[in-house]
Amino acid sequence: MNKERALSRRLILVVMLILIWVIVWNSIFAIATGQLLVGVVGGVVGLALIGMSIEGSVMRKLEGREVPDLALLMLGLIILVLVYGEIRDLIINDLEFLGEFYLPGLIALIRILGSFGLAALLIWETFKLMRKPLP
Amino acid sequence: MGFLTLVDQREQLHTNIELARDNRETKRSNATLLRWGSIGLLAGGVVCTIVSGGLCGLALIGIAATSFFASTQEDSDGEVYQNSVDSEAQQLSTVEGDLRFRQKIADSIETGG
Repeated sequence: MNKERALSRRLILVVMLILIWVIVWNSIFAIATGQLLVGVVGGVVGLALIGMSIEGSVMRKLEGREVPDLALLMLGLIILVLVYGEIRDLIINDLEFLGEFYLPGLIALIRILGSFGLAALLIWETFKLMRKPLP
Repeated sequence: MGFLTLVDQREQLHTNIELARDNRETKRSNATLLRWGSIGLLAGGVVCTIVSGGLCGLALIGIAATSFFASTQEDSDGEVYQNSVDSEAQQLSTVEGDLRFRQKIADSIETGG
């Protein structure tokens, strides 16, 4: 097994966490704004991903594999899409609406802040991976 | 404009703002879902590139890009609804200001001031 620029378990976990975080909080947001079907389907997908992460067979299969440059580029694109989307969403988010506290705004804010944290973690893990070039 | 007309106008503006807000939230949720789809496809692309080489990764980048551009369209639609919320909120504040002014006049007539 190639130990240089090898896919770490932590990086796989961070990507899985991003997928779970965004879909679960968007489902809660959808339910809070009355879109029940979107919320339920998203919740089921989120649960499936949580199950997949706990079961761990995908991670075991991928861990330690060599990461090509194209995969690194895709990790960079994941970070860009995540950060860009959450900034756009943050711009039109309100915590108060017509003088009253607005719960879906708080739900979206929690998702956005968490996504920024997870994006920072992914940037950190990707840089750690890049610091170990193939010989 | 009469007091009752202003009250009706205020109700109408409230309804319009709530409708525009609901539409905006639907667009926001759709945009987030499409972006989630892009991220999922890119994550799938990472796995595919690692396991079986670059070709399927490139195909997945293409599909992810389509999903991402669809999400930006939803974002733009959401911003249109946001503008409508903002402009109607502005009108609502003017109408409420007028209502308060008329209420003050009515109160001063009632108290003889």
